[in-house]
Amino acid sequence: MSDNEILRMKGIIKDYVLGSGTSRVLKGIDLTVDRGEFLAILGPSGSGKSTLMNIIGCLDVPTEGEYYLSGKKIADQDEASLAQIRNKEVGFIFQQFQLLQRQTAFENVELPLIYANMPEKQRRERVREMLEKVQLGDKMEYFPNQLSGGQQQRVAIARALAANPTILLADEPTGALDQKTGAQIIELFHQLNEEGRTIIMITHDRHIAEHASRIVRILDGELSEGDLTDA
Amino acid sequence: MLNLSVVKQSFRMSLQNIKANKLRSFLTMLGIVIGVASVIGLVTMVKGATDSVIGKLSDLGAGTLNVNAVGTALKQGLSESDLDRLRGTEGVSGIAPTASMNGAASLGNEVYDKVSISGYDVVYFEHNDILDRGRIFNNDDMNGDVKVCIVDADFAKNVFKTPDVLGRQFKLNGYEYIVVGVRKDDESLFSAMYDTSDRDGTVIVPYKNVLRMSGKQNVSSVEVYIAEGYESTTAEDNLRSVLDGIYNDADNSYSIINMESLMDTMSTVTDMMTAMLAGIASIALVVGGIGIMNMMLVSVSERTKEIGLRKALGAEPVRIQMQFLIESIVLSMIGGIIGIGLGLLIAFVGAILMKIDFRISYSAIALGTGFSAAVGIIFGWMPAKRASQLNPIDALRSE
Ligand SMILES: Nc1ncnc2c1ncn2[C@@H]1O[C@H](COP(=O)(O)OP(=O)(O)OP(=O)(O)O)[C@@H](O)[C@H]1O
Ligand SMILES: [Mg+2]
Repeated sequence: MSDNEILRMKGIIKDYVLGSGTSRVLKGIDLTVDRGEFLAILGPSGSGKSTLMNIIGCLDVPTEGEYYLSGKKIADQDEASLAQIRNKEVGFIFQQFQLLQRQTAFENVELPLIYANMPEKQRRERVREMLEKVQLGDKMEYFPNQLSGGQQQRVAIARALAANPTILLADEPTGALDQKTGAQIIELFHQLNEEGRTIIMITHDRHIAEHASRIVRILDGELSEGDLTDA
Repeated sequence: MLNLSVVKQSFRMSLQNIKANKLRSFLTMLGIVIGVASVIGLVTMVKGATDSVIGKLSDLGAGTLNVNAVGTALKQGLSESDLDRLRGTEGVSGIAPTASMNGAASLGNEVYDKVSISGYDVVYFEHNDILDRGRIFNNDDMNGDVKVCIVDADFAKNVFKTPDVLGRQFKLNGYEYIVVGVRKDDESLFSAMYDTSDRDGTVIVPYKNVLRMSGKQNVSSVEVYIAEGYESTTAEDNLRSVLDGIYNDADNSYSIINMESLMDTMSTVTDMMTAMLAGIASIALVVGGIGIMNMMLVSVSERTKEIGLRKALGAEPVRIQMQFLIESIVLSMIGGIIGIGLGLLIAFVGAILMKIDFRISYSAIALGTGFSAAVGIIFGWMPAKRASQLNPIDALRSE
C-alpha cells in the first residue's frame, strides 16, 4: 500500500435480488486511487458505473469485497460514522444535480457545512467563497428553478467542494448539459485537480474521459485499465 | 452532534414546508386547534362559573358559621347566657343572633300579609354590608321595645308605592314602626334561589322584637364570626363542644353550617368535573395528533428524495429525525396557539352570555401548550424515526 493511496477496493461484488434470481451488477472490482489523481471511469449505459460510484461514496454497500477509504474499512462503520465519512471524505456531484428546490443556492451549498457543525460566521464565508469560485457570487439568493442547467450544476459542484472533501465524485457531471457548458465544467475540474484535489468522474463519453489523467473502463460490471480504442 | 443552528435550520425549514402546503397544514392543524380550543374553553368557563358561585357563597359566609339550635323538648333555643357562652368560645370573634317570621303590615286601610320579618343584632351589620341608605340599628335599639326597622326596595314599592320611605311609619303585626333605613338589593346566592315575586317585601327589625312578636324566649339561629387566625373547622369543633354542653349531648339539638368547608367540597367537585371535561376534550387532541402523524408520514414519503440527499451530504440519522420531529412540533404548536386563542374567545363570549366571571386560567394555557407540544412529539416520533432510517441510495433513487 503506497502512502499516497486514498482508496482501495478488492473483489467488490454487487448483487441485486430481482424476483426469483439475483443479478450480479459488479463482478469483482479491484481499484486503487492515489491522492491527487483525476480518474475517469468510462463505460456504456447499464455497465454498473453508478452502482460502483454509490459504493465509492458510501451511499451503498457491496454484497462482497473489501473497501478502504482514507484508511478506514467501510464495512466496519456504523450509520453515524458513515454520515461523517460522506460529509468529510466525499463530495458527491450527482447526474441530476439533486438540489433542494425550496432552498436558495446559498442554502444548498450551506447544507454539508451545517452537518459538519461549522460555526455560522465561518460557514457564511465559506459558502460565499465556494459560490464565487464557480462564478455564482451574484446568484447566491437564487432558487434552483431560477438558474440554468449549467448554473445548477455549478451550485452542485460548490456544494460538493464546500466541506473540503478528500475526493470529489462526479457521476456524469456533463450528462445533462450542452457541450459548451459541459466544457466549462470540465475546465473547472482541471483547475480543481491542479489545486491538488482527487477527482473521480464517471462518464460514458470518451471525449470527456480524455480530460482525465487516468482512465479505467467498466464493461458489464468488470473493470479494465486504459486502452480507449473500442470504447 | 446537535447544535443550535441545526435546530434553527430545522425550524425555518418546517415553516417553509408548512407554508408550501398551506391548505393541508391548515386542515391538519384544525384537529389540534379544535382539541386545544375545547380544553381551554371548557376549563376556563367551568373555572369562571365556579369562581362566580364561590364568590357569591363567600360574600354570604366567608369566616362565618351558621348555628341553628332548635334545642330539646326541655330547652328550646339559646338563652342570653347560652349566647354569652358562644360569644366566649375560643376562635369566635363575635356572634349575631337572628330570628325570622312571617307577618303583616298595614298602612291606612291597606293590609299586606305576606311580609318577611328578619330580626338582626347590631353585630350583624358589622359583618354584612346591607344598608343602602338611612341608618343601621344601634345598641339603644336592641332592648326589644324600640320600634325601628329597615325595609327593602320591594316593601317600599309594594306598601308605600315610593322609594322615598325614610321616616315613614306603618303598622307591623299591629305595632307602630318607623322606617330608619333601606336595604340594598339582595344579590346573594340564597336570594337568587327563592322566588319572592309574590311577597310584599322584607322588614328588618332588632332581633328581640321578633322574639316578642312570635312569643318566644330564646333565639334558635345565630351567625358566628370566626376570629382572625382560626380555621373554620377549629372554631366549629369548639362551638360543638359548647353546644353539646348546653344541650347535654342530645341528638339533633343543633346544626352548624360551615360555608367554608361547603365551598371546599364544592371546589373538589368542580375540580373533578373540570378534569373530566378536559379529559373528554383531549380525545379531540388525540384525533388531531393522528392527523399530524398522517401528514408527517405523507411528508416523509413525499420528501424521501430530499432525505436521501441530506444523508448523502452527511446528515446523521438523528438530525433527520430531529428535523421531522421539529416540524411536527411546530405544526402542532401553531395549532395549539391558535386553539388557545380560540378557546379563550369562546370562554369570553360564553362568560358574557352566561353572566359568569371570565378569568384567564394560566394553568389551562400551560396545559394547552404542553398538550400540543406533547402531541407533536408523540405523533411525530414514528414518522421522524422512519425518515431517519431510510437507506440513502434507495431514498435518492425514489421519485
Ligand atoms: N436497485 C436496483 N435493483 C436492481 N437492479 C439494479 C438496481 N440498480 C441498478 N440495477 C441494475 O444494475 C445495472 C447497472 O446500473 P447502473 O445504474 O450502475 O448503470 P450505469 O452504468 O450508471 O448506467 P447509465 O450510464 O445509464 O447511468 C443495470 O442493469 C440496472 O438495471
Ligand atoms: Mg448511471
